[in-house]
Amino acid sequence: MTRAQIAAETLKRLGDTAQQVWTSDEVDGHLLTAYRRLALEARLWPDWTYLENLPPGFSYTADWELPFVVFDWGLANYTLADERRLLTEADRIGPGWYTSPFEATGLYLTAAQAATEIPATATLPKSLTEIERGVWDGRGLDARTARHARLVDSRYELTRGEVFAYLHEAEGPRTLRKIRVPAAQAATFTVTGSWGSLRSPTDISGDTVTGTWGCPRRIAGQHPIGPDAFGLPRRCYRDGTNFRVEHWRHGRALTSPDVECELPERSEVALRDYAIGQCLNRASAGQDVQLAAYFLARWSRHLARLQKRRTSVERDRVGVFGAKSARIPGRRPPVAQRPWQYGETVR
Amino acid sequence: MTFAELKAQTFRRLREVSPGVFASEADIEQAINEGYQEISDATEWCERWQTIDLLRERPYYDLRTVVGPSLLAISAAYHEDNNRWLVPTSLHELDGIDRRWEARIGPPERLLTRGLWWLGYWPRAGSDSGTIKQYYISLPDALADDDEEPGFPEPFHEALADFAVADLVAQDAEAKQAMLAWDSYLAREAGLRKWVRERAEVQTVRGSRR
Repeated sequence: MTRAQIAAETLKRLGDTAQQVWTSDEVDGHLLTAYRRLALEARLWPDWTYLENLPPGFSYTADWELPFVVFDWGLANYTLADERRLLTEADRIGPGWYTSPFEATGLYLTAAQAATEIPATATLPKSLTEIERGVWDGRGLDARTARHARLVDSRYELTRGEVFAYLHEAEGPRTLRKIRVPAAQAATFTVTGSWGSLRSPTDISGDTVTGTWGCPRRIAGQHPIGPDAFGLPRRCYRDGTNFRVEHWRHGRALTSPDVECELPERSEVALRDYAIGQCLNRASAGQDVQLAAYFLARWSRHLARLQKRRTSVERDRVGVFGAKSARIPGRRPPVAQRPWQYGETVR
Repeated sequence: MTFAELKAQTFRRLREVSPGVFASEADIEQAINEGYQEISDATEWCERWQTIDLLRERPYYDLRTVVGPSLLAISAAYHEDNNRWLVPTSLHELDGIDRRWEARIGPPERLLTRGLWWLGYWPRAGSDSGTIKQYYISLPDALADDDEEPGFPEPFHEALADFAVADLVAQDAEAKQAMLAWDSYLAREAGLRKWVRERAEVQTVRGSRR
């Protein structure tokens, strides 16, 4: 259902389709709150994001352009160090050196003798709610606190090498720092052509292609990213010397009334119950605290059910002789003994 | 109870508890089916399974694309080629065992869930061959024909009428009547949940329960 359809159903159940007591804007606000709460509290949508080890690029120069950007390759408003001084300190964003990934992956930057340093920091997507795991080169990473990073290596912002941990604090809620600063550019696919959609996966995969026309729908090893988990892959990533964040995110942004809600129909009912409960709770001609409690109880039940269900399959686990598999450990396995990774926390 | 009987009972109870409430047959059908979904969601009685084809190096499978939007929860998995149950596991456990666990290729031994609908089999399959019998919980199909019956045992069928009455009188701001019907619904829902959980626990000869 779309946002408009859920709002219309809510108003119908409130008996106020004429919007005499509750407006559609008010209902929309409650629906969006419930939608966000489900994402934050029930962690419904897992996703991947690649924070690629590539030199910094950009595809727009001011924040307000973002909603109009079709291909988001980052924000920067200057390209060279000598331009930096032309901007006031607070307005500087950058530098960015190129506008499309192929310029870096195709070694055009190197050919033009442009800078190719790889930044250690990356901007996380706005839809991200919580990081679950960082992966570098196909290997799970440790999350560090800034204090611990400083303790282990006071030059961690400068030391280049293999990424072995990440930091998600001290530099802003949307900034992630890789420790160490990546020394090598991410492994990427060499694709024939530089624009448009992927027509043939032969540059990427040696798989036998099923079907003879159209665009690829599935490529071995590739995982669909984002709220639209169907259609064709637009960009394929490699894990080698690359940084992947596995995270939870918000559902598809319901920016306009005709955007389809990403929830299954069953959970759309919960959004409606939440909105009815909140509307009935507000001081107005239609206020009914008892009924509001009834609808909010229905919402709470649904939320609790989703939270419990996420780990239900782990509770199905049975014991196996000779293994500690009767229970998923709630804490980290024992720390390795010195001198291996001396002074560092390991899983 | 059939769908027709449930509708008739809902009509009768609506007339008894709140004569002023007007509900069309379509409203009642919608309310009963919503109750059917609610009780199925809460008690997880509708257990099903589906054969999943293993795909080469597939990181995760979206079970919704196989079973549709009625999927509620992922359950146990059975590897049909080597006749073994997959051991449910978590990301952090796999990271603790082997930091490069994602690179391992072989016959699946573990089941990994991501969120409510995505699942992964570890190690990843090396080729497009083999199948997993994947169990899951889903919503039942909505009641449509008058002679259809809910899929769970009959003593709990009246829960759907309770839910429908609560839902319909609440729309007419009859809070007290709605709460009474809701409490009745919750009691029946608890009964069905108990039945779903305890139906496999058989009294042994010695009188002890599992």
